[in-house]
This record gives sequence, structure tokens and C-alpha cells, in this order.
Amino acid sequence: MRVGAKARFWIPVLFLLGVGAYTGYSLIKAHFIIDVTRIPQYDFSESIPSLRGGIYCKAPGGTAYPLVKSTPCWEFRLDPVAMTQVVVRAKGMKNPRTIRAQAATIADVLNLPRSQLFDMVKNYSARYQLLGITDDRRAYDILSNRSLVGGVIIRNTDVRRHYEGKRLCHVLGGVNRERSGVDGIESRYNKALSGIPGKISGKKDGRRRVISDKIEEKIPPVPGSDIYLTIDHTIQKIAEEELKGGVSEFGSGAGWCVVLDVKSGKVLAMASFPDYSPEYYNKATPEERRNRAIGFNYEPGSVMKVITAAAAVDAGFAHAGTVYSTDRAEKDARGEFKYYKLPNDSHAMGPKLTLKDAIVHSSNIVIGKLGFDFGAERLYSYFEKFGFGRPTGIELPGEEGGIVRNFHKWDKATRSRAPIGQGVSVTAIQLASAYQAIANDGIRNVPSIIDKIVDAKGNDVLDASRVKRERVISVHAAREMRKMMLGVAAAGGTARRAKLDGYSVAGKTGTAQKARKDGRGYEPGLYCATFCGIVPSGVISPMPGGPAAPPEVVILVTLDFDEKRPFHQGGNSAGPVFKRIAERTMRYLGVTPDCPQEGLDDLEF
Amino acid sequence: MRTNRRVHKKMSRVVSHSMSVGGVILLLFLMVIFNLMGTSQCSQLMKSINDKERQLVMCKAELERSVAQWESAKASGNLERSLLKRGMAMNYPNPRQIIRMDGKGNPLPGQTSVALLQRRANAFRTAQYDSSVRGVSSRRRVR
Repeated sequence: MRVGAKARFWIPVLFLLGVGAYTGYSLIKAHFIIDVTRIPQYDFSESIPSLRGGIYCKAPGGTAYPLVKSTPCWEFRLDPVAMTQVVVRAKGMKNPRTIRAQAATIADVLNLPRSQLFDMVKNYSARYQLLGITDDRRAYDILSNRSLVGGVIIRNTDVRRHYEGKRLCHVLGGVNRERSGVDGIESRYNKALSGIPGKISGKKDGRRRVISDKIEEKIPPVPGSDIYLTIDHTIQKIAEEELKGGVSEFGSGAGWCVVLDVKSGKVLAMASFPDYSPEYYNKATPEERRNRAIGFNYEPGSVMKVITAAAAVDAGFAHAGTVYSTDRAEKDARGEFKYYKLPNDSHAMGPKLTLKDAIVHSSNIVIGKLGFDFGAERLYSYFEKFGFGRPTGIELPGEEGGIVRNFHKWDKATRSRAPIGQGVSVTAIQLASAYQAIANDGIRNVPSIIDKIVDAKGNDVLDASRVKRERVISVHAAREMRKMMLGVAAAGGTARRAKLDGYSVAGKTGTAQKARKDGRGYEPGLYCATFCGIVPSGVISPMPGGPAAPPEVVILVTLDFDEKRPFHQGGNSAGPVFKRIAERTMRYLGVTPDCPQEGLDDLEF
Repeated sequence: MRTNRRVHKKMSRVVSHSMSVGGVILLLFLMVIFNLMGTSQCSQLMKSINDKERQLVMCKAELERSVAQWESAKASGNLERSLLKRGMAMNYPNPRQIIRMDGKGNPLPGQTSVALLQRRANAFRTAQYDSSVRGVSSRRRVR
């Protein structure tokens, strides 16, 4: 009885103690003994790369058109040593696949020559040879199938894909191997595009696989922001096609073109030639990489006459009807030459010219005299107002500011040469921006190329306060100037070949000699031919008595001749290129013609 | 048989002690069991969450790839090449081919196309006038 009572007590107690001890042992074993002794584990801490943001431009209907995007891809590498060690046997097959058969499969999947693969698998000294990078799902499925091929190492990566090839290459720029922007928008907004990389830390097993329940920290990456440009895809396409055509037609070594929206100053197109493929940025030469629309200072020539005349008209110093003598050797009351080193006119003019005719026929003498009389200080202040001599502030790296020396340093020659665009250097974007001010009734908007930057959460993070606008000249002066410029691209003007069918053009030609590299004088026979125009002119009404059609775009075209060519003048070379760009752009924008009757004479009925 | 009172007392104390100790051990045992079950469920859930997360990442990447392929296919250069292969090309219409109309269907003034049509209409009227006045058919005149 006594024994029975003790047994009744101790048997369950011992049983429970046994179970408890076993459970405790199991727990300790699971948490310490096995982890430490049997399965090798490694602490790791890695960063998770974030997907770089895309760059978009505008497409018809207000939609966004992708120009550059990062696409997740697979990088395939071949380890010939591992290939010999792994036995690859297809399902249901008795014999393993030969290395030659595996190499053939890899070659076929990745579109590589078989002979190349056969050489690669024999080269045991070179491990991890790059096979290729692709986003082809089929290739991934086959090459990751261990019953088909062995020794192929697959790594997740991403590639920067330019959907339009060379289009807008100078604006977009490129990225290096570290996925960091090296030029253009890619460089300027590298931080925003890159996003924030994530982080993962924890333990990996012997095969370097992450042990899922041993992850200590996991912070997902934040994708990069998307950048939306003000560039219109169609206008950019037109500008590039016509510029390229013009460069080859007229035999210039380089050329550039800028199209600005008149109301906002936004860049609708920016093209530069020669160009390059941004996917192979490192293979492009420095000359090809140069964005000449913003990063090239050049003497503008006669296109600058409009700025001089606008300054004089705005200050009340002259008007369209003011008459000037075309006598170069005019003398003052004391019998001395009134103007020093006044430039000569390239073609004969009458003895007297009005300011309007001086613009239409591009008289160096008249505008030189006007600028000289107007005064260096006042002219310089207007140059500053129009934005010359300093970068415009467009959101692109590598912008030049032009060279406009302070008026204190102007010698006698500069006083009569700067008004006609000699002795000063400008960039294409500065010049286009100055014409935009004339087109926009005297208000100059700082040119911009970024429309918005949208982060991963969908918020626009672009600083809206960067948009700056200021009045440069009065409304009256701007309209007066546009009226004067109307005759340039018309019969009797210097740019007859820039005349549009159905639309009026307020523009100006420029044929500037290229300065010698040693800084002493000009290269004989080498020119920069420019035409800058406003379409429609904004002074002609499509209906009798109605309001004038508002100006829509400013187009600047420059062809840089590094060899002597027969058609080197602005009106003969840059003018026709301007015309083609303007006509196609007007058609695309659906602008109502303001001169519908013009151009009907050549029609056959 | 009579039981010793002291022994009986001692036995009842031992039994009560054993019951409480047994209860505590049972409680511990149950706690351990629940802990194990919970841990195993947690690890299973963690694994399934990780699998789902991995699938999500793969699906997102697949979506990105598909979108990229679609965008590449409809890039303007590719579209133009495809059209050219079939002997076609796209262009925006000439202003002479466009007639803009207001809400009532009347053509808006100041259009090249309208001017062109007006000129044609005038020419037609002139021809009609010629034929009625001179009695000469414009067709016959053309012959």
C-alpha cells in the first residue's frame, strides 16, 4: 500500500520531468547546438539597389513619352570550372548532357555564335565570363534550369534603356557602370533619379542563401524619382531630323537648334549635331558629347542687331522710321571721323535707310552707328537685361554664359561692333531666350527644360519658385521690333528662303565670321550661319480687323561651317532649315495660319 | 486493518504536494508545447510571407520588363520602321488639307484651305458666267 502510494506520486512526476527535460534539450539544441555546430551560418549586411527613375518627355494628348528607363534584367556569366563539376541530366534521360550540348544551348538562347561558346567553356583560367545581359524571360527560364545547363551564374541587375536611340542624347546624358549619371539630366539630377537603396542584414547558410527566419533588418529600397521634361517628342523629332538634313545638305561640320515656347519660355526641342548614342557614352568623343545649344560660345553676328534695335526703340532713342545715312565715313562738326572702325555692308544699300530697312537688309553700318550713338553703357545694360553674359539658369550641366565684357572695357571698335554681334559671344539658348522676350511682348522667362519631378509617392518635388520672369522691354517696343523683323523672311529680305506658306515670320539672319583660335582676327571663309525666328509673328491678323495671331514658338537654327561652303549665309542655309522645322511644327501644333492667302499663287487650279 | 493516523496524515500531505508540483510541471509542459506550436506557426508564416514577398518582387520586375518591351515596341523609330516595311509612312496634314469649323459647322475664317476652295469656287463661277454670256461651254473651250 505504501509502495503503491509512492509510485502513484513519483511515476507521473518522473514522466513529466522527463518530458520537460527532453523539451528543454530540444529547444536548446534547436537554438544553439545545431545552429552553431552543424549548419554553417554567416552574418551578412547588404544594400538593395533601387531602380533608377525614368526620364519622360511630352507626347500628343498631354501624355508622357518614355525616353529613358531602367529595366530589371538578368546578367549571365559562365563558370567553365563549375560546368565540368556539375552533372546535368535532363529528366527521363539516362546519360548526362555533354558540355558541348550545354554550350550549344547557351549559345542558341543568348544568340551567340556557338564557336564562341565552345572557346569559352574550354578557357578554365577565366572564370565568370560575361555571357550577356537580357530581359528575355525565356532565356532566364532555360539558363536557370539545372537539368539543361550548369555552370551559369545568374545575377539580377538593371540596364538603362534609351527607347529613342540617339534622340535628345545631349540633354539626357549617360550613366557609367556604377549607374551614376555622368552628363546631362542624368548627371544634374543624379540624386533624385537614383532613389534610396534599401538594406538587408541577417544570416546566410553555407550555400549563401538568406535564411528567411534569420533576417534581422530589411529596409526596402525607394525607387528613384521620374523626371518629366518640357520637351515635346514630336517637335524634338522634327528638329533633329531637319537639323541633321541641313547639316548634310549644306556641308556644315556641326549644327544646333533650340525651339522655345513663347508664353512660358519652356524648351520644346533642343538638338545638337554631331550626336552620339547615350547607351555607349564612354565611346563618344568629347566633340560628340558637347551640347552646343548651351555649352558653346560663339559670335552671333547679325542676329544681335535685333537686340540693339530693341534696346534703342525701348529707350525711345529710335523707331522703325528713323532714317540713317549709310555713309561709312561720316564726319562730325570738327571734320573727324564720327565712327571708329565701322563695319562695312556686305551688299550695296541706298544712301539712306530707315531702321526697319536696316533690319530687313541687315545693314552693319546703320546698326553700328545706332549702337555707337546709343551708348555703350545703355547697350550693355540691355544686353544684361536680355540675359547675355551669364548662364540662363536652365537645368542642364555645362552651360556657358557667353562673353560680354563690361562696357568700361569696350574700346572704340567694340562700341560699333558689339551692336552687330561682333566682339561678344553668346550661346544659342541665350539668343533664343532674348527672342522669346521680344515674342512675349517684352517679358523674358528663364528657359526651363524640367516640367516636374515625381517621387515614388507621386508627389511633385520640383521647386516651383525657380520659374522666373522679368520685363525686358515695353510691349510697344516688342511689337515694333516684330513688325520690323517681318520683312526679313519675305521678298526683298535677307532670308527669303525662310518664308513660310501660310504663316508670318518675324526673324533675323546672322552670318558671323569665326574667330581665329589665336584670338587675332577671323578665319577667312568660315562662318556660323544663324536664323532665329518667331512664328507666327504676332503682328498679323488672320481676319481683317481682328486681333493678331499670338506668337507660338521661337526657333533658332545655327550651322557651324568649319570649311568653305557656297551657302554659308544665315538666310541661305539656316533659313531653309528653320522653314522646314517651323512648317512641320505649325502643322503638328495645329496653329491656324495667319497669312492664308500667301502661298496660293504657286497652286495649280 | 486500521491505518495509523500519522501515516495517513503524512500520505495526504504528500498527495496534495504531488498534485501541486504535478500541476506546475503540467503547466510548464503546456507552455512549452504552446511555445513550440506558436514558434513553428510563426516560422511557417514567415516563410510564406517571404515567399510572397519574393514573388511580389519577381512579378514587379516582370511587369517592368513587359512594360519596357511594350514601350520599346511602340517607340517612334520602331513604329516608323514597321510602317516602312509595309510601304507606309505617317505625316501631319498640310494646312491646305485642313478645314477647321465652328460648332455650327461653318469654316473658321483665315484658313489656307478655305481660301483655296473660295478661289476654286470663284473660278467655277467665272466659267459659268462665261458660258452663259458667250454661249461657250467651258468644257468645249478646254477641248
